[in-house]
Amino acid sequence: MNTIACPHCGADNPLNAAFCTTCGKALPDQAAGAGPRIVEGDAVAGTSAGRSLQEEELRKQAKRAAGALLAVAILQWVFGAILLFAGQAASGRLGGGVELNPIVYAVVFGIGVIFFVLFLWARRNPLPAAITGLVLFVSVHLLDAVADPSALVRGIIVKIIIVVVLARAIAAGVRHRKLRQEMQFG
Amino acid sequence: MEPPPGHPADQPPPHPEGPEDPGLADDWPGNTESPDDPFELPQRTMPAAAAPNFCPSCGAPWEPAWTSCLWCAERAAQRQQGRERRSSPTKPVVSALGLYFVMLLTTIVVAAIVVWGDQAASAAGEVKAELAIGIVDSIIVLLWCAFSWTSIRSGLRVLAAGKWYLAAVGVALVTFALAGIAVEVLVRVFDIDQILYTQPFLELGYGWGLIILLVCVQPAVIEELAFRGVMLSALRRVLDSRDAIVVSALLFMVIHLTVLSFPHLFIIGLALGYLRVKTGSLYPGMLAHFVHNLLVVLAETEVG
Repeated sequence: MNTIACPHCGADNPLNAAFCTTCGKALPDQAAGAGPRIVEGDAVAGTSAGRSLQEEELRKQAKRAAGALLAVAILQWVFGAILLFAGQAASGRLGGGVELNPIVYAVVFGIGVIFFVLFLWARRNPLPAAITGLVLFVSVHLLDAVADPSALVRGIIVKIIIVVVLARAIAAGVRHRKLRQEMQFG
Repeated sequence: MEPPPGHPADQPPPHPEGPEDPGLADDWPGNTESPDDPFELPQRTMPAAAAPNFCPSCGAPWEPAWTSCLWCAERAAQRQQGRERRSSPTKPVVSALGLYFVMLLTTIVVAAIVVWGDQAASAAGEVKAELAIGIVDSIIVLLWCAFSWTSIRSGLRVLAAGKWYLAAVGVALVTFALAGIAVEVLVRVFDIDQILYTQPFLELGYGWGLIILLVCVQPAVIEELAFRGVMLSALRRVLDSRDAIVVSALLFMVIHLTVLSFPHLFIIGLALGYLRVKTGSLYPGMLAHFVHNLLVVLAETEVG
């Protein structure tokens, strides 16, 4: 027989129906052996030791991302300092007049400050800070390249390295976020 | 299996084309299963002659005119939405950032072309640059919206309650005041020239219609679609709403390229992002942005 009788009203129903088509009441459970369900709560640490391990991993990822941003900030300041001293040295030799526009120094040091602020933000919340860092870095150098195309090639290796470092910071931020979500919600 | 708490006999059946509001099915008392329900049964399709009284899959009353259960269809649509939300956010985020970089580049490239082509840096050059950037940006953003339609669809379909439009006007008044203060500080303390938006247009004899369209309407609509539509929606898939608002505000700030306006641009970006998240609609932000730009234009012509 390929129908099942409803225990409430007796009407016939298809074999895999969950509810009676005549009276709408629930039919007895047909499906068996559905298999174990994976409960997402398994990701929550059960013991305090497990919990502190998770928190340590969380801090590690945040530190990784923040460290990358701090490195970029320091690089910017070092670059700015080099420009400053090179400019002074050059102007000293040629008797003044080869100094760079002060705006350039302001921009280079300013970017360093911005990355330092992003570093501080990343220590608490690495993912948005890392995303902002990469986007800002690429934006600044794109604009620089449009204004002065030769600038793109200068120090291209360093720039590529920084882009890779910032991309890895984003990856650390993603891991941090996933771990934090697992710890909170299971 | 426990019988469902009660049939939704008092509730109107869903519209045959499917409900727009994703929250509708939450009212259905039988919808207690989690999304990856191993007991999920296929949606039932019945010929009209053999129409049941109740759906064998979900137990909901079966309207005589149905050939398939619309409650099941609605639940399936909800699950699909849930699956989409949980699917990889990489492409939407990369696409959103792509939009940002394309807008950044087009602004600077178009401005550079026009400025270099027109050596005198006259009013005509400025107007041409603004028109060109406006048109190019609009096309780019609208194209992107067409491709990311599912992300911005909800923001365009939701019409916020009337009070939010009043709030939007209030927000615009505050941001206008902030911008005004910032400009005053720059002009008085740093002795920097104020950027004039309407002057070049009026000099060339363009009417107010074009000015309002280009300076007030176009930025409001296009920038809201781009920053609060495409970018904020994509960022919300990888970040908390609060962080997403901050990042979208930073992107909005940087795209304007006027470093000295950055502080108030950032605050405007935060306010508009908050409006989008709070109301679920892009329209209050568009209104606030429009009113802000309008006030700037009016103030400029008042002062002369």
